[in-house]
Amino acid sequence: MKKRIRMVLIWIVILTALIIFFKQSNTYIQSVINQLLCNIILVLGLNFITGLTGQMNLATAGMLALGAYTYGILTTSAGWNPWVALLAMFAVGLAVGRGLGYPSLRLKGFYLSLTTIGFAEIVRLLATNLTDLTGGVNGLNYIRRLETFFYKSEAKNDYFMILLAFTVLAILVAYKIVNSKWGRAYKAIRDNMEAAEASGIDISKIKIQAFTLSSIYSAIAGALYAGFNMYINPTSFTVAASQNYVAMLMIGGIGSVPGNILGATIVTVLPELLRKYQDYYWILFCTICLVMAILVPDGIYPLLKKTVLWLKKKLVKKSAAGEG
Amino acid sequence: MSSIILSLQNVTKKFGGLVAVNDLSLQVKEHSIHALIGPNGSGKTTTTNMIEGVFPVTSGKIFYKDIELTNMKTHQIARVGIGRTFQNIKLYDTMTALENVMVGGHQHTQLSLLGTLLKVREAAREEKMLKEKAEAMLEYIGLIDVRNEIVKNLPYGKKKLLELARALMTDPELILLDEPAAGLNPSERAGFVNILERIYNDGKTLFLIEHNMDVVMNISQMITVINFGAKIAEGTPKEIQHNPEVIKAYLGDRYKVVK
Repeated sequence: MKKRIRMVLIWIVILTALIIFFKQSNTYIQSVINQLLCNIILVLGLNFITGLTGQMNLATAGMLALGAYTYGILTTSAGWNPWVALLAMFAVGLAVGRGLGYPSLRLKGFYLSLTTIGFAEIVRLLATNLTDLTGGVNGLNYIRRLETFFYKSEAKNDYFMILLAFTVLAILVAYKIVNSKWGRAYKAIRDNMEAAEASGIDISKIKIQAFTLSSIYSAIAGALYAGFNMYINPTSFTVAASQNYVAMLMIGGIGSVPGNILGATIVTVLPELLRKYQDYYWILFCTICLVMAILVPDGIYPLLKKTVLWLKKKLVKKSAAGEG
Repeated sequence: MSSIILSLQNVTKKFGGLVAVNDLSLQVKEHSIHALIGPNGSGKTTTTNMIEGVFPVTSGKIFYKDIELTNMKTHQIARVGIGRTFQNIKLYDTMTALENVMVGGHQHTQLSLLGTLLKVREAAREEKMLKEKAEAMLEYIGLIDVRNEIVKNLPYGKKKLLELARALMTDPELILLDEPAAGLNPSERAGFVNILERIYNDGKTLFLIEHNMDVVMNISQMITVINFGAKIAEGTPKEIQHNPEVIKAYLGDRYKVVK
């Protein structure tokens, strides 16, 4: 119980600090933070299928695009209320999860990666070429934002609060699932499929469930992304973007929620910090990622955890020696 | 006369032109220790895999009590009440010993994904129930002191035991053991046999495939011997030891002198 209160307090401090920081920042930093929150939701979703269940998914950009475009079209030409349009994201997620999940049951490894890349490309090409519906390369404009009942959130400032609320909710839900019997079932499938089956776990059902969760998360992230930019076009949803999300997952630490948050933060913020090196910033960023992949293949979070444990042990030993 | 828990009726398995199991019929009595032995490549593991639904049978039928398993999927068969361990250890390497065993209990839980998220209290109760049961299982098998170790760091013998604990967690009535004593040293083997006997005494039925004759002859009540996928003998350990065909095919002349 004490632990829980401490956790809540830590959360409140972090969130307040983030809000204060946001209010004082300029528009550029604000948009980076907004992007970061979207990315966190996305990586948490990707974690279910790629991190825990071990099915390489490179369709994240496609799922994100489906969410963003559905939300965009519903709130512009269809004229729906943004909140109702957001509810439609669950339908999108369920449809994609099943539609992509069933074919992937028979595929593994490279073949699954290729299939998911194919899916993402199909979505991107449709978005580019269905000009009447999606605006083609010109994109969709005047996308409406989620509004609270209290104020019209035309200003980016207030939309940030909504985004933050969704991110916290997404983190809580992900944390709950990862640390429940479902998280264990996902990991069991990743570690040993035959054994999981012999333990009475319905592999097909669980895999599709993980796919569905992942696509619901992605679709919601897509809607929120469309909301804060108020404009989307197909160039944001390339395979390179999907790879970037996988990089976030790998760098932070596969499987754990804090690792996902850390990874999303590093991969979103680091390139921005490196921008002062102008022409070289992307090559610097890629080098850093490569070095990390070689030196800390499990991701940064497990490393941090180990270091903290090691330090604690050292301290305890030292104090014990001091007393003795 | 005790009833039959598992029966194979004229089961045949062909891989292309190769007949792996040929017209095999056998019956396992409820609450017994039944061993399936035979030389390498005689079709023992194929038989287990067919019982477990990993391969479909080419012809014939398999029954668990009155339930026909022939066309059921592996996870459904596991839920009927059959647990298994594997010849090559198959554990969830990145998880702790306790979590490994808890996965075995997944099939008995009720809550759906949404339920886990919304019914907080029930979910916590379910989790606690799983954890307590898994701890009891580890205690039973003698692994409670390594419950928080990551499985890939455990020694071979403990991994074997852990697999058994996970199988027990599914509350099976029948446990299929694919070479449980393989790779264990004599003292570990003795410990393992003790545990198997304890499980038997607690009312489970054991069906084991084994190469180690010490283990087979000591604990089984009934032995079926197969060679080239077909049954060549069946009987008590004593009968098997004196069966000339078995000695020729499998045991070797050394076993003639055993009294």
